[in-house]
Amino acid sequence: MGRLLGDPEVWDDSPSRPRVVVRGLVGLAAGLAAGGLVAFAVVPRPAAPPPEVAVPPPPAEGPRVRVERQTLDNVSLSAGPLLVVRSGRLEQVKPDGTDRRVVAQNVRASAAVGPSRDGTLVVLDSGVIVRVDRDGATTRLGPANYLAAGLAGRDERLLACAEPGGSRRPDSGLLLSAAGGRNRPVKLGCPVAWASGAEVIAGAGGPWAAVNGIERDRAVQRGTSVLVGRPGGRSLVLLGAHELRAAAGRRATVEAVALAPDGKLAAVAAGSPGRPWVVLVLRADGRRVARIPLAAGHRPAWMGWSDRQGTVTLAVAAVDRRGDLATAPLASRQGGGYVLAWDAGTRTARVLAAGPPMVAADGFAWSSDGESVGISSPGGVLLVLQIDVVYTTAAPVTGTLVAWPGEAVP
Amino acid sequence: MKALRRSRPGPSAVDPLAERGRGRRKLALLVPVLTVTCGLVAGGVAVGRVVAGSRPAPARGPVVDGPLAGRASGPVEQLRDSGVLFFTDQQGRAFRQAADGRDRRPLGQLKELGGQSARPFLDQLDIAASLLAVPADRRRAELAPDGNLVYLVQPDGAAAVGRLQDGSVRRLVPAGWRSPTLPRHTSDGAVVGACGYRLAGRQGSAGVKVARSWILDHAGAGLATLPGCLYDLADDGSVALVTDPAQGRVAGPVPDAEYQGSPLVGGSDQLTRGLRLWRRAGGFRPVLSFAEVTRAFRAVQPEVDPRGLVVVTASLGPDRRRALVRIVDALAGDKPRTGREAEVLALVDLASGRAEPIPQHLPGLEAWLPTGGYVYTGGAGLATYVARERPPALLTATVAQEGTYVVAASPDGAWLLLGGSVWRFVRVDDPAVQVTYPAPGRFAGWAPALGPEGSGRGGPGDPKGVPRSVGSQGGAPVDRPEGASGP
Repeated sequence: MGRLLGDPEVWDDSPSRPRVVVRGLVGLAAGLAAGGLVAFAVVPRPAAPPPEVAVPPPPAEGPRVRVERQTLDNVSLSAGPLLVVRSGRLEQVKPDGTDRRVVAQNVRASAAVGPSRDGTLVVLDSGVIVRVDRDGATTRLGPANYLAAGLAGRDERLLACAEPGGSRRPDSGLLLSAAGGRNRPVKLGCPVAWASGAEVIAGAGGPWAAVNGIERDRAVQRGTSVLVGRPGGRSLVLLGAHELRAAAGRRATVEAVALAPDGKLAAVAAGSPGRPWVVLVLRADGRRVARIPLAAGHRPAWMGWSDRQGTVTLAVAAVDRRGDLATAPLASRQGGGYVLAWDAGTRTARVLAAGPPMVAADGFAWSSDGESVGISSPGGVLLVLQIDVVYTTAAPVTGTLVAWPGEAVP
Repeated sequence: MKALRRSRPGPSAVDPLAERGRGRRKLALLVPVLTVTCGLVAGGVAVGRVVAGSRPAPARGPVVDGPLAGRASGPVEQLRDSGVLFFTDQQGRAFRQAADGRDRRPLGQLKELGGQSARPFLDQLDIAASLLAVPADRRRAELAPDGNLVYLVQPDGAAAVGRLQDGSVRRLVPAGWRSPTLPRHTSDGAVVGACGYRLAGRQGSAGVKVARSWILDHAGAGLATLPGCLYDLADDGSVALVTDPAQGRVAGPVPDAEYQGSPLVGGSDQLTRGLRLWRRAGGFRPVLSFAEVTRAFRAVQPEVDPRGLVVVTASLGPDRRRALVRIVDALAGDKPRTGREAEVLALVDLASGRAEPIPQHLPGLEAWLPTGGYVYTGGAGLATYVARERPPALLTATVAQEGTYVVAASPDGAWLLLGGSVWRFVRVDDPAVQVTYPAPGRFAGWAPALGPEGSGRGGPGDPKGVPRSVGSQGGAPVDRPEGASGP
């Protein structure tokens, strides 16, 4: 049996002093932990909120036609600047969006002629014929009370057709000079055309008919024949009313006229609201070359001829005018359309643009080299380069396309 | 260690040391009890408040993992309930996966599906038939919603129906006949139709000698054998769009084009000049005349020679009142990209027979949506959606860049898939919302989501069967799909 060392008499047999504070703290900690665990286990949790569906941030815009850089470069290389109206200003800008320049302030042009050799430009602004000088200064041309509905021209010479109203007859056309001077009346009504490379003019002639369904809440005067002639000379009937109605329908009237650059071919768009519209291609002697029927419910919004190294092509922009679209302004028209190019040499056609780019399309123009067509709409400007293959690209340009001249305004 | 204590004195003898520690010992017992109690209360209250006041994190959308991890762009979770996509690979295997990329499963394998990718879309023998019928898209096979039936064209050019489960394949046209398009079928697979043709001579030497169509029921019994080509079959099998031979007699044979390289027609009188509706209840109804075909085409080619105009595609709308019809000028030459407009897409009102042209340069793919709208692509690489009474809307401008070969609508019509090197899903009501991910294979169909067990019976129609198999042709199931029914 073992024996403890030392003297038992001096052993400290008093009980150890209880550590109250320590025990209290340990107890408190144990209590807190136990209480927390119990509470965590038994306390009911709030119901989970409904699942959060990750909604993508609203995109800035929908899909758009792509900018094809190579096509854009090719177009910009050979064509001149676009004349566009943007925010109440007339601007010129290269198709690739560079070299933007304000030509004139406070001008809302719907048509333009020029620029001429001296850099002046003539535009039609809300019925007023306005000359825009190189420095942006504007001068009104023509009689003070003359409101024009159409404008054509070549170099510095202009042909305007009148907005009928009051005592003014529909065939109160006017030959003017951009340099000023005396105006000469000509018995042509809207629409009018001037061959870009020849001394040939054309316009609508009587009998005149009031046509409903083209503009909202009012009838418009439309001619039923087409006259052609030389500036200052006597006009001849290119297409009589009888022939027009035989080719385009009983109530057909003239909607648009365009002359080929050499003046040897004329295109006449005719029809009536609610009926099929057609484009008739005629020789200068009145012989019909082609009849181009437009898709049902589509009305021509623009026609233009181009001459690309001897290849003469007619472009027709036909826009959907069915139902409520019939009288809507071009820029607010929520409907489609298409641009058809008809080759006078091969007498064949191709569709250059169609579908969404034609929604609210409000400006059309051939490039001066005859290789490209520009189409403006609120979504931007679409360029179609048609050489052998049709190439399409969006252009970094906004505004309403008025013209696409070969030279920039200096 | 045990402490030795002195012997306890009597009761009267109070040990001052012991008396002095008693209170402390009692305190040492009491204090822990109290602190534990207080701790319990305090901890419980504190944690309870925290727990009761907590806001659990909201559930999030599905986590994209597996095959799409990091490769999808756009709100892919919005595709979660958009059905099941079918596709095939180069080995002839068929797969299904949810539209958002989850749950990819193999369905089976047919060697005929494998041959599809190697087979040219239009081989030399098919060139002559490209004036008889052209598919609305370029998918090489189509899977039924059950994930078992496969509609395809065999390597020898015959339309056929296969079954992935047992690898069986059945021809739908007689031996020696070829088919220009995939078979058409009802949504439940109960009625199948196929177009077939035979050439007048050997390869490339002559045009279509004879064209016939066969409509079969699920048991393989013939419902009708028709002259000319079958272009579409209604989802319920009640009607089919087929060639109208009467219009062929009106138009006369198609002469050969003068352009070198153009398909030889050989004065064939078998090509389609007009359409009629075959009705299962009996009889036919003319729906598109040759005069209307010519009138529609002149919107894009005013001086076309009508002798060359043929119908090559016709798709019935979901309401069976309209059809998208493609008309081709067989005399236009073989260079449509640089030459004149040689095709036009037209919307035909089947009641009035009026064809409304949809002018478009080089029309490509077309498809109907279950909601009644339609979509088409064009030469500028644009895909356009047209809903009733709405202006045309641009869906995407990437058709050319992505090699898009198919446009398909989701079963609910909310999404459109433009399938190519990538699969681009576009929300129909807001084309700005798009989801893309790399194409997992060759698109072969889009069906509603299967039942909860993946039973394959939850689709719009439970396939009642197929024309009976005439024996396996080398196919074998790769991996039995989960829940697949049947033997």
